[in-house]
Amino acid sequence: MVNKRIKRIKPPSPDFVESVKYHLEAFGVALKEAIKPSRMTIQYPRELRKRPKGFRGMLVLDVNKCISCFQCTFVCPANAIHMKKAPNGKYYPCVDYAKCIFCHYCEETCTKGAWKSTNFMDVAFSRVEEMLLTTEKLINGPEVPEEEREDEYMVEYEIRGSKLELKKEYSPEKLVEVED
Amino acid sequence: MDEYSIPVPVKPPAEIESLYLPVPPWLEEKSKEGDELVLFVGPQHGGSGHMRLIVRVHGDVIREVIPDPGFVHRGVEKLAENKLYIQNIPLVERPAIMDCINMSLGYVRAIEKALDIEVPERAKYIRTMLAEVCRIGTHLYDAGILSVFLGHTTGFMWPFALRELTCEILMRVSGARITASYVVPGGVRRDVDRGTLNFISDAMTYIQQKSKDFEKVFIRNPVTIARMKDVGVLSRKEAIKYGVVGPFLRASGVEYDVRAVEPYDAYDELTWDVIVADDGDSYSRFLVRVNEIQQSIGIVRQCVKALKDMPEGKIAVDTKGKMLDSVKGTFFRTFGRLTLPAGEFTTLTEASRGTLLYTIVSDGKSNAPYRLRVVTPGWYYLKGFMESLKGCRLADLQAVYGSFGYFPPEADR
Amino acid sequence: MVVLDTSLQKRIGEVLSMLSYLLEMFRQNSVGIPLITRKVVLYHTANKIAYIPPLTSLFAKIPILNLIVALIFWKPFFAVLFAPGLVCILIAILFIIWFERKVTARVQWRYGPLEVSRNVGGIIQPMADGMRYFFQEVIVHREAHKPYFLQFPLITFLPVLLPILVIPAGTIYAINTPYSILVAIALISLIPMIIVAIGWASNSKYAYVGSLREAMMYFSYEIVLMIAAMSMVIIYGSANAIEIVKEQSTIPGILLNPFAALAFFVAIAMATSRFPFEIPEADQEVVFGPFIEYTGIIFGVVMTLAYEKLYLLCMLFSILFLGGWNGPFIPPLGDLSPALWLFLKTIGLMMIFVFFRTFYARYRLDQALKIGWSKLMALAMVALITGLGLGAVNVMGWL
Repeated sequence: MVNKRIKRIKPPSPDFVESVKYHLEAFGVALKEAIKPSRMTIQYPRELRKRPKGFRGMLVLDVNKCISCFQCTFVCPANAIHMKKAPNGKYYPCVDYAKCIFCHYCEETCTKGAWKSTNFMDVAFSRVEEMLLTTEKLINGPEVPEEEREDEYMVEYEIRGSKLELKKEYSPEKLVEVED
Repeated sequence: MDEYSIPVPVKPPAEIESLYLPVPPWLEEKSKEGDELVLFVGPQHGGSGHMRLIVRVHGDVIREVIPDPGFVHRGVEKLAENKLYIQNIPLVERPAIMDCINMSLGYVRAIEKALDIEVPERAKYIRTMLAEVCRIGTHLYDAGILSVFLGHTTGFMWPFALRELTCEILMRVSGARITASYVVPGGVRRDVDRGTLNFISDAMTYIQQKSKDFEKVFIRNPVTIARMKDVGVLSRKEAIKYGVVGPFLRASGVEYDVRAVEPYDAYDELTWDVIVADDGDSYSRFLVRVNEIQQSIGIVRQCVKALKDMPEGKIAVDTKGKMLDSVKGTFFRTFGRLTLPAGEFTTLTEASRGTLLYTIVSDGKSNAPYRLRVVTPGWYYLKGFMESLKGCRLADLQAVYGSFGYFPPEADR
Repeated sequence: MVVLDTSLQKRIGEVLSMLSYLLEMFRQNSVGIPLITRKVVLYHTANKIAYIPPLTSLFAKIPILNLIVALIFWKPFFAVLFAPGLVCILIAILFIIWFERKVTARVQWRYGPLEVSRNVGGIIQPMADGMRYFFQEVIVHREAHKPYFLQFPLITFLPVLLPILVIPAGTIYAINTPYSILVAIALISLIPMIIVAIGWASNSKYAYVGSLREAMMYFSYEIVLMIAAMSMVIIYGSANAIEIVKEQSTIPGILLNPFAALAFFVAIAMATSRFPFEIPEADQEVVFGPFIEYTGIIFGVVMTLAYEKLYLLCMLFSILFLGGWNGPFIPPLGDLSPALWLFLKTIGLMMIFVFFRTFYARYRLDQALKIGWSKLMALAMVALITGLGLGAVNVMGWL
């Protein structure tokens, strides 16, 4: 073994007095939590989680940068990207969200940086046919109509010392943000 | 309630009738002779994972348990033969998804062994740090499942809440909560910045603080001790004979840890202890894993300190040895058309639940593996798990199952 | 004017006199709640007095309605219907189910049921659950013994509701017998037998294992429960609940015989499947035990069975050990004031039992049996000896 220490542990075997003490300790911990709970629930859909920079969400295509090199189609592990011919003769990608695993190999493969990620991952469609997003829908990105939004806050975990706090701030105007 | 029979002019195939009772034919007669009850603790049961267990129980004492694995078999080894080497990384981390870094680390190290790549220093430390974070997440997950099998719902909620912080760490580093797909042959995909490193060390402090409360409410609870002590005992000889791996082997007194015997990545430059217990019962297995969480927290802190001292950048090398600062924009050109030389390449990794074996057989010409062989720790210790149940009572089935932390998707692949 | 036949006239006269006799009987033994039956003065100035008119005087003149109102306020009927009867059980169960879910959620770092009525903290969630059970389909599977499968959950209401007749709540009681505590305990001990029969009627392997577990648990706690209750009865010298509470006006029973209180406490936890003894209905091992095959409204009925048993046993505990309905008298409530105190003590005890869910796991069956027959039995024996000693002291008039 390469210079590692071995630590032998022994499970406790309490006698009667220690057993009563352990019972009371368990009761004390539960009582302390009942009086002053340290909750960490994020109450979806009223509160949404704030996504960090670099989050791998739904994809947005910048058509002017795409050069139809087909490399994103080759690298996709789930075969979710198809190329369709556009009227100007070039081929442009469309994404099938029934298959996409959000690994973002395509984003890192593109030499021109045409794929961009958003901070939005709520993949919900009404019909199966809608899950194959055509190129036009990919240019605009996912849209959430104003009357269907239910969120009020954005929540982020913040740890100071040994306390976990939920830092709340009001939701921004636009729910879906494209990252550079 | 009336019953209606609808005449359908189709006869069901013979396989359906023969598969209706999934037991070997000699089981029915043997159980009738021995005055036993044959219970199915099946896939749809509050107290089993996705696996069927056929239990022969005499009164309240279990005589034999026959496992029926394969309920979640997805054919990972066959699927891997039709994908490029780089496309297999999200595939092989799916069996035990909360342990994603360890699962993909074994596969990627096999490719690096074949191509003879030396990974840069910073990438080694990042990989080690995230592997230990995944190990903490998996141990917390299994502690939660054990608690809920014993009926202790608080012991289920608290580890899963703490595991939420490990998912947050993975999200800030790689962009996805549990399906990281972060390790590539030659290094890692992205760099970590200082803010993320500060968050990681704060999260470790919080997990350490709350583990003390968890210890008081569940681990040292006399009901838990009474339920798990001297239950499902595997002696040292039996553990070696049945091929048990990982922390369950160390709980029976054998001092074996792959990270210490054949170190990989940055493990030989860090200091930690190998936890060993001597009793071999359920409580020792559980206690070994709980102490391993504390050791992993120590390793993560050392990695964070080392990473803060290193300059940023330099996180991957390509096949020709050129150092890269980021893989963005060149991913397919660097890794997409990898071709391994002909031969067989094997690695051993210490996943959270034990030894993980990967073997890639390559024919030298194709850019997809000719054969990928994966053996997960769950498959290794399944026999030891079944043998330790003989002689236990029926209610101990759940306690032993939880102490082993058997995860059927990992074992079935 | 219609002239009736004399025999018909005589019969109508007989019926009318019987009704007025009934009315007289109800009025003599009526519950007195000043808030409803008498005028309550709000304020008085020099010339005017403002008061709330009594409700019952509204109905005093109408022929049939005054009989019904007098029947409702007749003490035995009131005891079974309101306090401590069906309405009190309903309020107790709705509250305790909500409280259990909320307090376990608080300890487990989450919120609990909050969506149904957000402003008041989700308190009508159990009612929403009950309504949902009404809409679910009741499935009777092919192998079940049909009549028993459907009837037994309803028959369990008999031994649950009959003790209400003999347990008084202050001055509201149905039957005043010198054996009230004994009758109540004897009826409560019938409930596990019907649960075993439920498991047998389901005709399924897991229900069979669950019934066996219920029978084994019955062996472990029943004798301890009876010995603890007996030792208190010996101290007080009578088994009449009203006498027992009268004797506790200076010292509550829990200080007289703490061993019996502790033994009774643990026996209640065993009897009503509270953690750490939630063995017959273990969710992860035998998938809810004897009740595995029930769906729909019958499932709702069997779910509340354990809570009703908890309510009855907690009421007995407060009568025997905590001084029953002794407490400061609230004048506007009149007869309801001791009933309110008994209800509050019962709910407080139920809240303690429900709190065990948060930090205990589940014992194994043989471990629970061992505890019942070794440690608990020793404690009960000590309690009995203390009870005998104190009872002799009481007889000699020193207490």
